[in-house]
Amino acid sequence: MTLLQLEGLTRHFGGLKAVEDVSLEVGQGEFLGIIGPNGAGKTTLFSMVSGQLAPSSGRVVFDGQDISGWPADKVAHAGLVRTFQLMRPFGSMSVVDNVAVASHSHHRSRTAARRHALGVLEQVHLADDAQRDTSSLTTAGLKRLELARALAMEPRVLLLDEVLAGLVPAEREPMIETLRALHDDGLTILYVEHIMAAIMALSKRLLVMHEGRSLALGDPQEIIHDPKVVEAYLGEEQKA
Amino acid sequence: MSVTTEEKPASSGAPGWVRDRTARRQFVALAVFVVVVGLLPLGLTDRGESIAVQTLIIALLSVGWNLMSGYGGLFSFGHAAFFGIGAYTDAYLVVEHGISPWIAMVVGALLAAVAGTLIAYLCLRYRLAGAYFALATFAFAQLFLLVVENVDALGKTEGFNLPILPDESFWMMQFVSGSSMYFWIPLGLLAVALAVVIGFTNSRAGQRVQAVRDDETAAESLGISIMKYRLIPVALSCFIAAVAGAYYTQYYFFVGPEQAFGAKVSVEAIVPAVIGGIGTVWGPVIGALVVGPLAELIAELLRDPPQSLSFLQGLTGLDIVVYSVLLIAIVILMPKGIYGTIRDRWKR
Repeated sequence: MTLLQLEGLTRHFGGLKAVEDVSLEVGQGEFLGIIGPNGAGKTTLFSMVSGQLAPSSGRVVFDGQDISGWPADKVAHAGLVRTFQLMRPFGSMSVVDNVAVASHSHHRSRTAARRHALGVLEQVHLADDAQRDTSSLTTAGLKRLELARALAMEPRVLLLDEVLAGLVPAEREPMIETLRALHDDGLTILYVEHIMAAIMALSKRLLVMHEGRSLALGDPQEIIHDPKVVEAYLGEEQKA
Repeated sequence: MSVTTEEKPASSGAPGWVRDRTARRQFVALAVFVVVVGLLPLGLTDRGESIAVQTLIIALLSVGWNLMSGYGGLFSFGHAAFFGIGAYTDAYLVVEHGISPWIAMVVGALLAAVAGTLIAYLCLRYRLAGAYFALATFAFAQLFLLVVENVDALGKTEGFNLPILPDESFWMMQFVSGSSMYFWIPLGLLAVALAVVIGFTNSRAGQRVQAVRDDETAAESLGISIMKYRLIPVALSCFIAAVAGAYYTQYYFFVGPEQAFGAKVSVEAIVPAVIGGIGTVWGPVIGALVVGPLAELIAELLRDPPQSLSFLQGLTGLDIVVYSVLLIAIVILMPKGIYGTIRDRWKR
């Protein structure tokens, strides 16, 4: 069953085409990886789906409803929740209260929200830091907090923007396990990532973006050997 | 007494701290504060009491400012606008229509809340942020000042004098001169305002307000409407500032344009919160305890300076100079204000 559908999604910034005519269908319970060189338009695509940016043209259809151009808060309530590549903690609040802000979307009372938040923190292995200030968290901790807040919204689709960026290899494996567990529980996940090992381990399907367009879409193992994809990446390597 | 039950888990498996007791602790502190301060009139001279009342009014104003600017993150440099609306609505309704100040106070507060919400909405709608937002609020306060100075029905530059009634009346908020009621009423108003702050900041809405202040984009992505949770604290803040203004009129039996809408009032809303600690429950109150008596001390010094300081005779604006020096010192030495700094030390 198709849960999320992108139809010809396009976003221009002045003359720059950040995302150009991207179409995609995401099924219930799917884990879709999105890769592409820097500037390929991955984050812009996310921002259009989650409502931070209105598309210049094209549609976002979620669960049969056209949500194109909805404000971000409404999209989040509908069940599409994103994380940010650069962590955005609420600095004045403890870790558990950061998550409780999101839990409040389903729980009115403070105690119920905090109890729910603590449960989510356990899920992402951050419960031991629940009462600490966010300023005392490491990058890995902040990434988990970012994930926990999104999960506390009880999303139907989770949009993850580089949750492994900035983590040392030893910190990656537990995070990958956390994501795998979420997917096994039936959560639909769209996952933008640069770290290929993670994306290959988790994705059931892979979308490759290049210069704002969808370059290839399909089985990860086949896709990475696609000459177009290899060229896009090698081209990037040579420039760098 | 109930300590043992409190330490029990909030639910099966959840530790006891999950039940957030911040609000309860703050309410207890508030009760202690009210009782202790409420006893003050027993030991104060008339003059001491008038300084105390002035301090309470400034505290109330600053507690209001702190909701919008401290918790809400929208810096108002024009809270005189809302203090003034409260002061003038009270004066107008009491003088021209003989209405009870209690009712006039609520009417003025509602008007201020509507005006503040509208102003903030316009500023946010047109994406004025930071210093530009502050300047816009300042401009509105100045605008109101000019309007009041030029409208006949509002007494132009003369303002209003309240009629002195022959008898004491709680309903009309008039008592014999020197009555402690003039102290207990603003203390009660301050207590209610603080209770609102405590209840609000520890509620779901209050947590959302602080999330929007900390990071708008992140808050929005968690389903929080930025506009709504920016405007709620503005409305509350302007309401409280107007209550302070209304009581100002009642206490001094007089209000004029400068006392209500002057830039000095806007400064008096900000300074106590900054000195005491922005975005904290007790910061504005602690700051007012410093600023209120200080303002009176300076005023007295200027009126009647001792021999050694005779050059001060007739100088005006010294209070503003002292505020400025105080502000600079606080910002350098205690960036989080007196209360904020002490609280953070305590936590470590």
